[in-house]
Amino acid sequence: MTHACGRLLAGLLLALLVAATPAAADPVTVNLRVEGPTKTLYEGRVTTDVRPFHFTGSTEMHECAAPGANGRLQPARGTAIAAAIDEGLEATGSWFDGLGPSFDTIAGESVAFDAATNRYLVEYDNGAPALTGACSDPVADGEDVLFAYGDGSEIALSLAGPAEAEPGERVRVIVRNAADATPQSGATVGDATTNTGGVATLRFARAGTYTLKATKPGAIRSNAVTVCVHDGDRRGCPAARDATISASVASVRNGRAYPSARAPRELRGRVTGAGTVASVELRLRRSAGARCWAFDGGAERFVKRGCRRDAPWFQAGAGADWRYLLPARLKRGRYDLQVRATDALGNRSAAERVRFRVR
Amino acid sequence: MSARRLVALVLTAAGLLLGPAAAGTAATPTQRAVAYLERAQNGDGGYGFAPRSQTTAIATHWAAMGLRAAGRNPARVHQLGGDTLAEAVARTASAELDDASTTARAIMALRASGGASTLLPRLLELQLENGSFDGRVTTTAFGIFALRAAGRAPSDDAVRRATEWLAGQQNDDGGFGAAGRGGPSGIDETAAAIQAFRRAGLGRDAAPVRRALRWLLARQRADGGFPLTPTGASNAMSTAWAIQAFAAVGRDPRRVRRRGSRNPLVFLRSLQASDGSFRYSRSSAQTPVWVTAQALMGLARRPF
Repeated sequence: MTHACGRLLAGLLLALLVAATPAAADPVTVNLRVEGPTKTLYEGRVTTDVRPFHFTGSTEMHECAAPGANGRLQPARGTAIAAAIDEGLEATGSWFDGLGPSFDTIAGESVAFDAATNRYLVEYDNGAPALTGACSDPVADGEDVLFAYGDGSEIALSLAGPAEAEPGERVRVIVRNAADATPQSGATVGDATTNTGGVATLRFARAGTYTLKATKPGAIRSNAVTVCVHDGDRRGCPAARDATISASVASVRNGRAYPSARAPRELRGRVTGAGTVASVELRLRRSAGARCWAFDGGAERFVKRGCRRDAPWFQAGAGADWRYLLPARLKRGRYDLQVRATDALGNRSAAERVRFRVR
Repeated sequence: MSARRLVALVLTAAGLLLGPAAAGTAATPTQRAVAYLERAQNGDGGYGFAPRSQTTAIATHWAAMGLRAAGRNPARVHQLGGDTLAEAVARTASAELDDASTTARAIMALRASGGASTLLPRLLELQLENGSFDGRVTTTAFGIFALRAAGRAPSDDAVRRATEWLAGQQNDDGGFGAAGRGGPSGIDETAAAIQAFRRAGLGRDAAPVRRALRWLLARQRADGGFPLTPTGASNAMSTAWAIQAFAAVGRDPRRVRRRGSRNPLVFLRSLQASDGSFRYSRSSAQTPVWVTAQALMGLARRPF
């Protein structure tokens, strides 16, 4: 085939692809947060679908949707902002083809690029600076979408704590790196500072509703945790959100035997019912005959462990759609996999357990 | 000859004829990553951050550099009837040259594509009076890479001034931070600075190189990889940066094992998914084209 013929064929294929506009996926509800230079500019749940993007006061519409599986268009971080703008959030800026929006102001505060400090409104993907524009990566139901003013080198903090407390009670909150859930020492929450385990202890003398955020130099301030302090009388406290949180495994099935050539490598699953997912943890045990091994998430290998002892928990990110790519396919043996999740209010799910075999 | 042996012989012959890439699991990680990038190319010759996404200059340029590091000529990488990667690099390199980072990257991608760069005057215009590019560590390192790729010698005034500025940004701990001296040291910035010093002609025993290398070696995680920030989880891109830095100082990355950890190459290879792409980390699959391209540079143990 000549080069010219090839181009003609490619042109025809392209025309067919354009004619067959991909279908759009269902709407999703995500936790959207915008952290400005001096304060939080937006924090709340927003339901978004595949929709065009426009800045406040502008009628110019821009395509904003991420390519997803099976050619379906998916809502993206940019469509979450677009949905918030449609609901009244004020945002101005410029549009760049291929990358998406660049913001100048959000809710009246300047978030424009500052050449002196290289700071701009950075997009985060489940706690880590995103490498793409706001309209490139799909977002899933329950995911955290964060835009924060910085130079991209800052870690994003996540704060977890109880929803309720009594006056004078010691209240423990924990601050973590939102990307990988490592505890953060030296962070300030209220008038307390976190220790090496990321834990700060506070006391509230009087009943009332207290909204906490964690801050730390060189880091993006955290999500808000609202603590309702009362002595039995819950009137005046915000209605408690459903604290039910559950984590599940989707990539391996309980009781199944996998041939070694198709042994699981990627572990995947979902967290449902949570506000902001603060951490997802796994533990994985292998047994063969009378011997047992536990997966060490730090060294990323199986180490011998007594069969009566549980395997240690290890971090598997902080997203509603969690995934963990094992370093290699699992070897022959019996496996016991557990997953649990914690949300930003400190609610922890029950451990979901899956047992399977590789033969 | 038994039927089983006959079948085995035929399969072996077929494998030899089809070559390692067609043999699936027999292909090397590099071959599988190259095959992934070749499949991910758009018809216009360029790349988006993920397969089937819109072409962007960043992803296109990194794909060119990654494929070149793996021994593939971007002038020969194209879809059936489509533009070549080199053509896409030339097209995207002429746009969006409003900052030093983009300009430096474009020069490097053009060089990887075998094309002549006319962008050097623009890059020189963007060099600040203090010798830096944008006043940023990584951008200045890329400025040095681009100046050298465009044929400037280590003794060239622009290279020398950039190198002097860079050396002045080293933190007391030996590392380098994104915004310069005083900020927390980061893995990517320190690895970039080490490579820039070497490209600028500093010996591997020069004080800034030795101090930066010592800081970098101490940041290796128990899994053998390197994180973006010292307390974070290991990821493919930071690990690739570190491997390139080790290669730049003549240190075999296979021997970099802190406290019994795996070496960074083993960690990097363990992030390769079944389709040949590289995951950003154990729990993130973001921007697979960009991550895979940079992983190829790490696998090749080839500095900028």
